[in-house]
Amino acid sequence: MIKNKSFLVLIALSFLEVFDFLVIIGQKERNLEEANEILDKYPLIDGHNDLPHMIRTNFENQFDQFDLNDMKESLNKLNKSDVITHTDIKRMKEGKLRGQFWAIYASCESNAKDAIRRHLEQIDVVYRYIEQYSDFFKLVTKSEDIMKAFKDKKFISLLGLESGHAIDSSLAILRMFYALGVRYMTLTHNCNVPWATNNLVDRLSNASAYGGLTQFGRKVISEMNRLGMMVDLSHVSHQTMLDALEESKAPVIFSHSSVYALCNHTRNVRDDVLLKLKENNGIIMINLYNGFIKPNNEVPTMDDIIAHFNYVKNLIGVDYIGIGADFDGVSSTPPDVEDVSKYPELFAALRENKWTEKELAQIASQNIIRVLTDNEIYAKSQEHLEPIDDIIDQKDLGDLYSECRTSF
Amino acid sequence: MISVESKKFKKSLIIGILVVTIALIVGLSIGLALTQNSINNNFSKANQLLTKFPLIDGHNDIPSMVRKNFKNQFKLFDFNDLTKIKDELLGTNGVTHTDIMRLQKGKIGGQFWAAYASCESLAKDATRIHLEQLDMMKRLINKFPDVMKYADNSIDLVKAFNEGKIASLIGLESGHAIDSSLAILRMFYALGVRYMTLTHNCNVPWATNNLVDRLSNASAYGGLTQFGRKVIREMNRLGMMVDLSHVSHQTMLDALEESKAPVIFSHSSVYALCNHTRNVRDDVLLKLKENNGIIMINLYNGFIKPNNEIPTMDDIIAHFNYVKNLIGVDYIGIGADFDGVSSTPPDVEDVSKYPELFAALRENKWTEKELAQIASQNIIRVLTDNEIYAKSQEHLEPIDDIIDQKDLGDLYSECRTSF
Repeated sequence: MIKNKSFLVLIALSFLEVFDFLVIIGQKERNLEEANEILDKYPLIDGHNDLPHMIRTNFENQFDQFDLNDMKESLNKLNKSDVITHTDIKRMKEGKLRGQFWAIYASCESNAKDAIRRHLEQIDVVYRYIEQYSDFFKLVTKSEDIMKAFKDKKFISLLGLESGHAIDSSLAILRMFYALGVRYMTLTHNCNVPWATNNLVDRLSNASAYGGLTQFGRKVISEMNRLGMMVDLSHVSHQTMLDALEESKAPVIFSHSSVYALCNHTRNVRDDVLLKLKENNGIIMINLYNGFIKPNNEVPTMDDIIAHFNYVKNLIGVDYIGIGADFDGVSSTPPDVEDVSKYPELFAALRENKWTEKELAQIASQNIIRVLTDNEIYAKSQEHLEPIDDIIDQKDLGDLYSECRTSF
Repeated sequence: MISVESKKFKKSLIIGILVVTIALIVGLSIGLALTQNSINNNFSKANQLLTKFPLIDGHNDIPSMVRKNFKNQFKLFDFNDLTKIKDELLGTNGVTHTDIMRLQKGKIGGQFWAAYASCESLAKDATRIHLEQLDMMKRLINKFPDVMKYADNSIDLVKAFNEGKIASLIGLESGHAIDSSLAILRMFYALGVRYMTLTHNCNVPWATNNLVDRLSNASAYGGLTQFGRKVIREMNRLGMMVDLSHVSHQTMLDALEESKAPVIFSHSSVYALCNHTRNVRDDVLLKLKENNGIIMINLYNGFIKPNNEIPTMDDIIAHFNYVKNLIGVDYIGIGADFDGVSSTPPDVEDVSKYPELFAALRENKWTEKELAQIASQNIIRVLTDNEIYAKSQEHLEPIDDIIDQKDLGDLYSECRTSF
């Protein structure tokens, strides 16, 4: 008799478990469905993707060597199937990615040497794939063209310059990059420029000795504001972040950085800076690199990722958040959001964490569109201003620059 | 004792001399007046012509002048009138040829402004300096919107002129600006550059310059490499005019062979009249005719007249006449090289003197039609032909070939970190 009762209880519990399981699965599916609906309704615009650099590294910018529809296949054809690839048109469609700031990047090796050339060559790469796959891509350089492209079912392609060494300490070069369509500049990569310090100095005990922006650096910010080019503070030092937030009259961005309080990497953004970012009306676009999400080489779960979004929302609010996953720019990404095809899963998880449709629309693109628009509005208000033609003090340049520089 | 008859003779002689003298004076005066009238007539006709047809000069180095004297700092100079501060122009030793006052007096209707960096920057910061010069020129054009208007195609060029503005286009001087990268060539095109002078007075890894022609073994240096031919092809595909001023004789021949669109000499003169390696030989002029291109005459003293002699107006006219006689008027223009040279002819010393030049051509029996051609119709034709050719090649992919690393040599290893 007792045996029968236990058996019945066991069966009842099992049913309950299965029922719970089905409810959870059902909910997960519903969240994913809703995520997909949201991403159909509102464009998802990611802040930073290194596809152009991936093309240079693996194909030397030779367009007959790859098919952007399927980069996995392209690498396989060259017997390079172990090379990491996060981005191609197939997966962008799966991931409902509808817009991207393509990173125009050259390594710090080129600092004080051929930085300008290498960055320009990367702009040429993006122009070319936009042209070659023109049924899919559309080059966008103004906020008003973003929704237009979205409605025309084109992929919104913007340009972000990574990084400040590309201008070779010349405001004229900054202007020429703007003329070519660049709409943000990351002030440094992982090396100092003569006018701003990078995050690596924060690892030193005497970090404050290095300072942040120089006087010339502040002129760079002013000229970016005048043009309407967004100031990007990913990669820069803590002091540079503070100086730039103080100097900039337009909202700034972190195109691909995460939360320091959750993962204390010098690439991440501290609370004091986040509070200033709120006053500035800027945006932090969360980077999905494992090492910026979770410390100590641990592999991040979806919950670890969501924690960053929740943290910023709780600290300063949802108006200042976006996504800058850094795909194709990093070696290891979370298994749950491993490449550009997985954005819906990320949004589903946010939904599960009670993020509303309105909030998701904001982090998908409404926030970054606001920031870009604000920069354009500020630039328009400064139309009467002359371009700044100050030259950097030659003593700020130092020996590093003497070899390859023949003129002021 | 003086006889009555010798007195009479003396009187007749004096009267005779007086009459002849008066006749001479009157005759001379009429003659001079007629000549002056003719000159005035030619001058006013020249002015009229230049009001009707734009005068488009092929090469002016104001960006370089501004860099040398003012480090591109606009608060340091007033482009309306630079003669006021002649004595302070230490960067160019007091030389100034161009400003708004003189451009307007000279009736300039359009100008290719040179974005130039010296050969010192080759394999170093050439790209940066050329871009800075491009930025400087665009800023200057924007600073005087009532006077100048930026143009990067033949339609906007004519439109600007019709609006009473100086149509302002940009030429790149020179090939070392692209740092042997076709991508950089494309970026310069995207920024508005509409001709590129393949070399200045130094070789690039893919083309030789005119200085090699001074060597006994000039032919050993060749002209264009395989990559150089790709540069020409990509320029043709884009619609950027190939400019052969400064290049070696062999490079001229190779480019004329390779180019499918008409080429230019933005600022070169006639070798047969002045045998400077910067000038153009007859064999090249004949090929230029087949190519349907243009030679835009440079007014630098040393390219007009050899042996350090100072050229007269006749010496200048001789270059125009020579090309007209050899290949015809369809292939001639003016690329004075003002603000790019130290000494110019006293008769056409700066940009205010173009009407005088046209008056002199008129005096040399050049017709209005011919003058309209050398003023602008020829260069407009060449630019348009390049645009038409580019349009016909729209379906072509950009060339993404990389220059062979061995073509670069040691000169380039210091400042280059990647292919």
